[in-house]
Amino acid sequence: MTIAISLRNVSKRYRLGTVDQRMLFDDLRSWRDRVFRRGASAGSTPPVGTPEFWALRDISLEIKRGETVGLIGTNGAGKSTLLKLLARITTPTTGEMTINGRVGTLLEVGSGFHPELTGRDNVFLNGAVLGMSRLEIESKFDEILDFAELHQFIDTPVKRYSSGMRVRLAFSVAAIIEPEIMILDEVLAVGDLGFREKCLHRIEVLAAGGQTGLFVSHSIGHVSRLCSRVIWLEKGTVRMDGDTDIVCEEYRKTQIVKLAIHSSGHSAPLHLAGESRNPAYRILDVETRNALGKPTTLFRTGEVCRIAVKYSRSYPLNEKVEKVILRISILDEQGSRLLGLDSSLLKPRLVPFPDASTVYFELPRLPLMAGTYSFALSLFINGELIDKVIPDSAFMVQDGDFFGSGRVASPTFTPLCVDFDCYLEEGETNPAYKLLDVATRDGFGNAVSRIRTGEACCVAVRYAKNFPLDEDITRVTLRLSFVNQQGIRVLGLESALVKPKILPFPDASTICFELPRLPLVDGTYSFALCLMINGVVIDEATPDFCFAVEEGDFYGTGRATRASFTSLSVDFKCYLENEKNSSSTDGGANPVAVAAKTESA
Amino acid sequence: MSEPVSTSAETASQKRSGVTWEFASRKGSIADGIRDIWRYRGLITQTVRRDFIAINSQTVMGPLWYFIQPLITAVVFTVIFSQIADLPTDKIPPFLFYLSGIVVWYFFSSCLSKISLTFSANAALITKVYFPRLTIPIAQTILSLWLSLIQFLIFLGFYAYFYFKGAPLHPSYRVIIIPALILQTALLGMGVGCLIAALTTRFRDLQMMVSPAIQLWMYGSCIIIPRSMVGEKYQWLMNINPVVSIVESFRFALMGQGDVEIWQWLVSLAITLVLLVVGLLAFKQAEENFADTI
Repeated sequence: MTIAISLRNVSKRYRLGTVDQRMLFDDLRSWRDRVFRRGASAGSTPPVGTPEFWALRDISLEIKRGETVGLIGTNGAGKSTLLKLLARITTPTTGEMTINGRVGTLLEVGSGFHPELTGRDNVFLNGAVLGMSRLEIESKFDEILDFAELHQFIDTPVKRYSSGMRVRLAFSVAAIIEPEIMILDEVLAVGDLGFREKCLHRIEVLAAGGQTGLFVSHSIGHVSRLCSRVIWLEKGTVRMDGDTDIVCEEYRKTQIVKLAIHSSGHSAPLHLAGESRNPAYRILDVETRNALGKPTTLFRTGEVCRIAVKYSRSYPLNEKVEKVILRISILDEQGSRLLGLDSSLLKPRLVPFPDASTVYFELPRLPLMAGTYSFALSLFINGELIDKVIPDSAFMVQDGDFFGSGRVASPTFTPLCVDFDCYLEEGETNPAYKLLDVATRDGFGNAVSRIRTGEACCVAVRYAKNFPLDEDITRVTLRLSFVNQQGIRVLGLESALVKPKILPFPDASTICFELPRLPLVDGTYSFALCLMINGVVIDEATPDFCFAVEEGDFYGTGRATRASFTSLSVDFKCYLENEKNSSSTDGGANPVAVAAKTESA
Repeated sequence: MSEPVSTSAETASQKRSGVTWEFASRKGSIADGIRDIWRYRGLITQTVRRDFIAINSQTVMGPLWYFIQPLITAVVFTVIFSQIADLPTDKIPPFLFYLSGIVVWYFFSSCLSKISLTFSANAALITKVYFPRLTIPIAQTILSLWLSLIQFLIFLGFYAYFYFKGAPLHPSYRVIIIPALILQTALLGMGVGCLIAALTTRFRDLQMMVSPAIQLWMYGSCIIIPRSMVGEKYQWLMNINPVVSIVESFRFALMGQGDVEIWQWLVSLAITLVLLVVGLLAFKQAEENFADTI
């Protein structure tokens, strides 16, 4: 019994429309047909004129025991219908399916709770709904309670619980009782970040323990983290089925194309602030330009990217303009901020502020991964928000060679590229390949657990060999992820992206990732590690180790990046268009920009 | 999971690994269904527990209401139908006559009305989780039975009181039939309840009719008027109403007064079984389609 779930030509049809008298007559007619003209009609043909909808069409697939499979697809692709079939909530219209093992479903968290009962009674009830006996639940009860962290409230009726508490309790029941096949539908969209991370971790543990799992999520990040295989549904059919990275990548690409088509029409920016009152300064237009200063919306990772923000004054301000801050947020396809660029972090170059000009933000090496991005801008003058816009324009980034190694980072692994180096430490060797531990060091090689933003930092990963490999080691890749307190990966470093320095691979040594200027903002971080040899994952580890980053001066201007604005600091420049001719405080004036100007002239 | 697993969980997981569902678009044998329900027996006890607690939460008197409700009704019936309207009660003390009918009728009607709400009251659960849907009617029947047993005890209390006061009550060996009558009532309530539950998934209108229909049915079930009072013209109605035979047999077994022939009871039993089968079939059909039609 290695097959857990098998579907053969399964289809599901829904009838559309409302309940009315016609339905009664239809029912009576089909009943009469069945009784008096037995066999004449199969009984499954819908009455003429009823609109119908095939939510799933001819799906055939097999899921092996121990596989963790993700289901992705746009709204209406049939994901939820498929889960409902597998959860036995509804039956297929045609086709056959076989399920080996008890199914635990969490299609909507807490749906089985009875408000009048206490948390304790509800745990038993919920367990019973999932097919557990009282004895089984009793043996797991303490574990459930520990996971939910609700000891204090377990004897309180659930109707007095907050929604977050309900979610925690419900997930705990489902996660701890370990059904043989676990089906989760977007449940991770709820709950606070800490608990979500705990759930993700629990699912990872279950998956590693050979549990069969099926997840629906719109978050490619979650899917790629949890699943080894992904099924992509589109309009009720399987569009693609296979390795997570490949399917997610394909899916993402089509989504990008859709978005790009959507945002191709250039239109006026949407002013969020200053709509009711007339702002003194208005952001007129935002444009992305390439190294030559030509407007373009297509970039490659690692290229020069210049963001030109045009503004003009509507009327004079009463006060003198002393301080000008322009902030740009770069938003991903989901509209969440990936990167924040704050002009106030750099040496001030925006004052005196002309009445109308263009402010440039320049990223010498675009750290963004392939995808479509948009902006949000805010302009502050003398500490006051003057204008805030979300322009309709978007720009696209294609895979590029950020690291100068000819290799491309995977967007499912890291949202941004930052400079780092990865090499083996000389010295000590032991026989064995296992990731042993991880340590952070400062620029001098001393082990530290507190580092400032912008300082040199080295992450040393110790490993050792457990048993000899049969094959020759031709490719070694170590992936290092920085995970913040909320459990979100803020940065991923993959050794294969920089020039290879870890071959030949000794039996035991330490691999160092060196970041010349730590881009992380203040906070506490931990690591996730993955060692791959010849393309095969050899070891994965999430060490207990944590380190703290303190506010530091990444940009060398004495100002600290604020954690609430961006999660990473990257190099950029910010200057006024006409400033290039004036004597710049920054010695390294921009040769490319000058060249661009001459060319456009 | 690195935590030590208790032996009970181990045996449970061994037991679990035998579970296989195999089903086409429409399939599933009766034996499978019964096995499925047996596997979920824990859910039945939990549901009974849940509803019992839920009913009594935030009431001061809690289950005491189950003593008081039938008593109030019996007193009202006694005053109106016996004292004012002067209807005969087969020589049984009027209060006891009404109380016996009410106890049986409450059991039946509470099974019926609660089961008929199976789908609408549990829609949130049914559309989200699989479990054998029949566990809900079974749990409701057990809960109703449990509450009715309390009422039956009250009845026995008054029965003893009247007996020692010298009322003409003639208990006999026939009381052994009472468990069978209770079972029959339960099956009847379940059959009709399941049928209504199934029909209401398609046509909500029926829900509005349940309560008045139950009331009408009560007047036609010899709860108030003894069968001996019903005219010849309507005796056929008494024959096809399975509740009449149950109520009359109940009175006959306990008090030696009642108008029921053995063939009448067999007819009522046959009707009960037919309704049960029809109800369960309709229920099965409805549970397959419910998640789609809601």
